[in-house]
Amino acid sequence: MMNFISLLHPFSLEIGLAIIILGLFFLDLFSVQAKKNIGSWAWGLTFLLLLIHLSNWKHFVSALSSTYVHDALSFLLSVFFLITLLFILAMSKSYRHRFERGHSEFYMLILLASLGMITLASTTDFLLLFVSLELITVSFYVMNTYLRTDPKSIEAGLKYLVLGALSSGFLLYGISFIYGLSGSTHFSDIARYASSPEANAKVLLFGFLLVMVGVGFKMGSVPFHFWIPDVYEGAPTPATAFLSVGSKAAGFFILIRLTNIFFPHFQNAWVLLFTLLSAITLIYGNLGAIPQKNIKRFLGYSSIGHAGYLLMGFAAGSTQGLHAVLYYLFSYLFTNLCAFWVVILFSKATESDEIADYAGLSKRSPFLAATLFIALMSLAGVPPLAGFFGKFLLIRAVVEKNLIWLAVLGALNVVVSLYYYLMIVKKMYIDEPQNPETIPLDPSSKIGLSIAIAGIIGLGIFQAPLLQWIESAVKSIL
Amino acid sequence: MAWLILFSPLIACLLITLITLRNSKLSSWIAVTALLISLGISSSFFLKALLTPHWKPMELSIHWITLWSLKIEFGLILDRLSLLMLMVVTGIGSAIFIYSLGYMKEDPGKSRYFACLSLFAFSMLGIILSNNFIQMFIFWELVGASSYLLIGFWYEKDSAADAGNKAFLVNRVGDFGFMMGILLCWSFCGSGLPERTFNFNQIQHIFSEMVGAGLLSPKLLVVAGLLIFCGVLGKSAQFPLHVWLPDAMEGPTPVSALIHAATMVAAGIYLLARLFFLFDASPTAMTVIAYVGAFTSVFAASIAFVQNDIKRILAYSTLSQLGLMVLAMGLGGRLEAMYHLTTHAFFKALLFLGAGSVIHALHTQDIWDMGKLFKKMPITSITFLIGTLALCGLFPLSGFWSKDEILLLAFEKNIFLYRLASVATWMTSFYMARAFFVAFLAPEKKIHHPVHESSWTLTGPMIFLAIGACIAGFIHIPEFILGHDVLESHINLPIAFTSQAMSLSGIVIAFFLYAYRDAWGAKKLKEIFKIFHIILSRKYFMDDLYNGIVKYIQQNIAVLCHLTDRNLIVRFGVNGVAKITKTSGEFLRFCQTGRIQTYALFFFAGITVIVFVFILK
Repeated sequence: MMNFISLLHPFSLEIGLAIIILGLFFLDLFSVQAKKNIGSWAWGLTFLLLLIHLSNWKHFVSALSSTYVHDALSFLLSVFFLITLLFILAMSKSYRHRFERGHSEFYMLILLASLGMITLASTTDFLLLFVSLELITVSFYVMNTYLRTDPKSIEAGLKYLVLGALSSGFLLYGISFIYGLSGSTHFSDIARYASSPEANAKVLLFGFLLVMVGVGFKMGSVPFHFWIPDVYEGAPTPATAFLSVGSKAAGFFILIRLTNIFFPHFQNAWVLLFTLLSAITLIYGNLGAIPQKNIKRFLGYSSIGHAGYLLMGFAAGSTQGLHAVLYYLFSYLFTNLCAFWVVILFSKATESDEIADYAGLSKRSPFLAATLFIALMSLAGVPPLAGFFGKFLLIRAVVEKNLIWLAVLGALNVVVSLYYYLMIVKKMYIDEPQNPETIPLDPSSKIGLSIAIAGIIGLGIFQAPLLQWIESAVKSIL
Repeated sequence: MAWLILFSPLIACLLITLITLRNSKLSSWIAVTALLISLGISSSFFLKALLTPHWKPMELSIHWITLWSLKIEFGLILDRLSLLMLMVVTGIGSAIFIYSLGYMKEDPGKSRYFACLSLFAFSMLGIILSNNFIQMFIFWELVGASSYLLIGFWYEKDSAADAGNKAFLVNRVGDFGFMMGILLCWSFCGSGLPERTFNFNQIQHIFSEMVGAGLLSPKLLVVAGLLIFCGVLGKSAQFPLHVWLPDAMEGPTPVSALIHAATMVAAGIYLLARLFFLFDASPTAMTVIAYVGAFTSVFAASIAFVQNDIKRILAYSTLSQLGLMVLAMGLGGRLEAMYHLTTHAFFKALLFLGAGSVIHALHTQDIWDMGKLFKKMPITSITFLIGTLALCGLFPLSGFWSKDEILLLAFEKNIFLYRLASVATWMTSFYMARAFFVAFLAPEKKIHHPVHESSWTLTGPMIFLAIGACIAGFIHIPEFILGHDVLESHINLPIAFTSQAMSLSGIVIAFFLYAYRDAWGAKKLKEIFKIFHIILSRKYFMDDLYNGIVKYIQQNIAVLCHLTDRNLIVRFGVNGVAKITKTSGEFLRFCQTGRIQTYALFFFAGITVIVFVFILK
């Protein structure tokens, strides 16, 4: 018995989350009263889980013949996903009115996708990686089509399904190549193979590039980004927000784990690949955002632009680059979720996602306008907000590797992004509202938004604690 | 606990602005309570330092910004110097906060006032407690910003809004030099070391080693010292950046007492004391500082002769006294300057509060409209008299002790500067006596409403400060900073007698000219010294000079820049680029067809290109 428990110990977080999902499932089946409040149950239990998880820190172990590890990095990432999860669950409560029935299953899908993300954070094996990635993707297939009567939502789900399947195919194809060469799906075995003299570098690189297709799809990097605007627009907004933070971050986290294996062996190809991808993605995302009329689509393009920034960290290929990526993702977590939450609250009151309808928001709801303003400024990278420091770290990492032109491109894109973010700010603050009705806000969303704002400002001003944590996490995988 | 000293006013400011803005009474009490908390904690530290013979200074800090080799901390320094300043700021600040309760009672913007006041207290405490250059600079700027808000508090009045702007802009000029000085220090502090630092203690340490080893060129030291001194010029309103302080009297009177007498202007002196090691290493810089101080002292005192606005008289006397402190610093008298800073804070705040009490009752600031206030406002009159005598430096009030130390120092170091300082002393007692006699003892003027003594919220703080002004001199500040017995003091009799004679003669002359008289004496004087009067009442044409520079030089450059900007940069540069960007953005929409077949096509094309480039090329 003791043996069994010690076997389970590394999975305590995952098992906890699974128990929550199953528990909610039964609660939903048997209690009408609980069914109404299933979102609060989910939130409360997840929060409890986060607290337990935080208290459990420094219990680093590995399991399943070290294909599954709990190191400082996976701890950091799981905290990232749990915070995201809490925000998404809270946001979904504000979106509940759009679901005609069966809102409780939506929460379970969110939890399932997070389970996938959390296992992904700890895995060091391609097989397990593929399984957890599919758990995420399949949950999103359903979530994206959740507005069953809305053709846009159906379209979004379909596009995500087809392109997602395509990218998964490539990912699996790439994995099979790597397996075929090295005889193992385990990261450390592959690394050992890659550094051995008989390694076939070209085929290995081919495998890696195909894996990158799958990862690039998740990250939303050009040219695997085409689904983003359409899916972001059509999917239910909480799902969009989750895609933009959780799913995107999952892609980058895989890449962080892969850096160790592949970067030392084909440095030149690696740097070239990520420099190019970063540059194209930056330009595409930022230019594409300019003419947008729908705010979710707009945020979709902006998220492509952010993927471009994040790729800069990998283009640098240094530890500093990885620190910057992780810092950026944390700042992006608070910032983007804050923006999407405002979008949800706005559409709840006005049933519109059109940017034109944001005119005069400052008069209708000064709180929402100010929150969105801060979030947009942080996205653009205005000091002293979190987004600024993230961008600063990324650009600095790139400059250290003498990729000056990429740094300049990144800086120029900040200007472009300021343009389109400020267009919305102008709409909110200067234009007159067509409908001067005030927008009601419930206290819980106000608290949630305030926490997000506190995160944005806090990370912008006090970088040291998170940065130290990130440094120790990155050290654990080197 | 120590952190709370700094953050309690900030918390008050946030509470007021975010929550209690509508409830002005609650807001004002939040602000007062917060500062009293700071005062309480500061006092406990102060007493510990006072009573423990071997009290050790503390430094608390956290890492704030870490960028590889650039490390910036956020820290508190608690040594005897900062404790002394803490006591001055929180002690006098609390008195002024309480005074404001009464003074601003009817003002519709009371909540905003207390929020700004708390923000100011936070920034000022930040300057005092900072343990490194960057943090200090941030708080330095915050003090500038919050004083801008307070000076322009009645922003509907044009003169107040202008005065706020002026104060802010003039301070910025000085701060620019300060920033350059910080960067210069930073650059030479790291040479030969793995990590550069902004920390004061570490810089001092590195500095003494480098000076000892002869690694620093004297020229560099002079430049660094004088650049940092630029910040002092701005904040402590020394010539030629003194012009903002008299105009800043447009703010509410308690603000003048707090910011422009006791605390903000003292920040410059405190900076000199904190970085004394830096200045001390460069005799040239020290000489410049001493002469600037002495000059300002006489210069400002002479302008005060002809002022009729009671607050402006006090403002010029502040300039003059600050000049004395800077002079002391320049002569190497860090302790003497801090001593005078402390005593001056008490009696100058007291004088401002007294003036405020009079203004509150009479609704005028012109001393010639006042008169015969002794009977109607006895507490105000007596406390104002105590303040005046303390400022004149009469034995045994606090001003005597500290001013005497400075005079003694000057006498030992530089006899010319001693004479200047003595002249300034004489002038001070003359114009202060003039103000007092005209405002309080001259015959009654026509005032259309009955005049009463002010309520306890106004008189209470005044009485407290008056007691302070009487006894603060007996606590021997230099000995406190050194950690010696504070009650031991020494008087140089010849110097003391000379200064007493100078002060008394000034008071006596003023008495014959102004006491119990109409404006007769003043008119006569004005006729005799017509040219001087014009020069003095135009403040040596300094404002006109600056306006001229702005109007004829800066304005033309600005117009030129504007034209270039409009026609060249905006039309071709900005708008051109924007158009290209926008068009390419529109173009990208064509890729986004919405058809999944296209997407899949691009997907494959992308993979093909990547594989081609990396594998097959």
